[in-house]
Amino acid sequence: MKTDVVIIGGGPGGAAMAMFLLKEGIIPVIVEQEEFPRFHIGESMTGEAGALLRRLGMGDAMVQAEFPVKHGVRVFGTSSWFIPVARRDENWQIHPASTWQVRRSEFDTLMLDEAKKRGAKMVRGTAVKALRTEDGAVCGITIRPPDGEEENIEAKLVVDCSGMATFLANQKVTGPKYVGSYDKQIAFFAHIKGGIRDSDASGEMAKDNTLIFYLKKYHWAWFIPVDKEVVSVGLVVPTAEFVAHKQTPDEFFRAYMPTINPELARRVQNIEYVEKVHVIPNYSYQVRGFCGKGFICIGDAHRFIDPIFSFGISATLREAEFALPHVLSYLKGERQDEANPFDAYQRFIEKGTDNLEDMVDMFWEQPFAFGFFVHDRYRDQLTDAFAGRIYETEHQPSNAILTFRKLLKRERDYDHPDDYSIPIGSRYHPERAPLWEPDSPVGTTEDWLSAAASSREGIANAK
Amino acid sequence: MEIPQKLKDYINESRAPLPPVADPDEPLQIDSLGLIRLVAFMESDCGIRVEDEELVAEHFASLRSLGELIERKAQKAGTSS
Repeated sequence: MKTDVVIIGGGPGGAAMAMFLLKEGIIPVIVEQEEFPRFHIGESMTGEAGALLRRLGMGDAMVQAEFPVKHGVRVFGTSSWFIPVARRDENWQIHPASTWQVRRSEFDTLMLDEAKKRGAKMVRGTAVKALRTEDGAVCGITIRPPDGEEENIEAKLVVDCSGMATFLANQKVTGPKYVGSYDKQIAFFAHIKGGIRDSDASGEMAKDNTLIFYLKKYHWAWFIPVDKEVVSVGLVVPTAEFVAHKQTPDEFFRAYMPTINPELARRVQNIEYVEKVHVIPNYSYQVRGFCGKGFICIGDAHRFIDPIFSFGISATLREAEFALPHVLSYLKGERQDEANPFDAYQRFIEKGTDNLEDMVDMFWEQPFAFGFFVHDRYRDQLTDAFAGRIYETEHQPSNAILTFRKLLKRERDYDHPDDYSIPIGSRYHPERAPLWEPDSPVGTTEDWLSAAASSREGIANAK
Repeated sequence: MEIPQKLKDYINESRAPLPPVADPDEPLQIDSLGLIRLVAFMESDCGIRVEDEELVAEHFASLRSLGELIERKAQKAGTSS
């Protein structure tokens, strides 16, 4: 088979990429290995992801499907705070907005069906090999369909939307894949009925908002409605914590999850599990050099930091949209002789995602300063970042992000680009924070404050 | 102690229903949201702007540590206490 563009993966990235291409008269081939609908994690979206779906003409379908509407995120630590979903208008004025929470089996099916309806060619199969020309450019893929006979799909461009499978990285077509700084975390999740939501139609107490609960550093849970009755509940902890308990994932999730926060415990007092407990360990990674002659990677296929700010679907959809003009010029014959015809796009995405990474790292490393910036000093800038506006074209890096970098004592050098050095996001970068261990002395700002005060008391009493 | 009275009053209000702070070394026992409001109050009502690098929990652990922060800042600004 020969085609202009072959897309590996029929998830939201692949379906969105196909729909963007179809708008421009390009008919892509999507290769997907699984029968849909199928379970998948990554259920909350940012405001910008919602806006993008509306741009793709999916707004009505999303409303008709009755996906839960997210007006913001409530965060529960020792106190609680709220981050609204907000959009910017043509004059860059901020307004409240909403987006969706999605059961992925439904959402991914909706997206892929729509891509097919609009003209994408679907091939059932698993990508097994990247095809290369003599000079190393990618010129297609070999796939294995369910009935066994391998076949080649030749293409001018391969778009890797294979998600956490990171197909092209595993094929060593890209640069190195580094474990990320959150790779020693483990995520457990299930679907439940009987979870107690808030009850308003909109605003801070809207019934379908995301709720995040945290106990101490790197220990947190999510509560995300996925339909009128079912809520997705997730638990993320250091792997060392899970290992110390010596329980199965199922036992650990059921026992430990409610202990994350009394607010969460209250809401899950009488629940019924309607989906088994899934586990994803070591979910954090970054692939360098993720674009080149004949290929680009979108979304999870090249990078995943951490689920805490719900950027998974968002980053994937937006990368597909940002890639479009670069893909169109490439298919017209431009830049095809360059070592990396997509290097401007690659750098743009890397910079934007680095801004997000600085935000995630700051949240864990310096929660007090982070909280102050969100509530007070850099409120609008951080509302923008939480809404998904993390890219250079959206006033980023903002002063908030630059301040995070200063406080984290990190520099990001984009003037001497290379595709091989260990990124800051890697577990092995010399400046990474040390791993959490059981009995780590300090968990939260509040813990620190009481520990510091007691030690002073101890000294004073001893005199 | 370099802490303006209205700041001490604000701290005591934030701690309610706990009694007012008696000891310069006792923990202030204000939660993180309360501390955020405290820093904002310092800027808006006391003219004390806590710089980004000064936003660390140890400066707000007790009246003594807060007083030391304010004193340091006043000296840097060239005013005598």
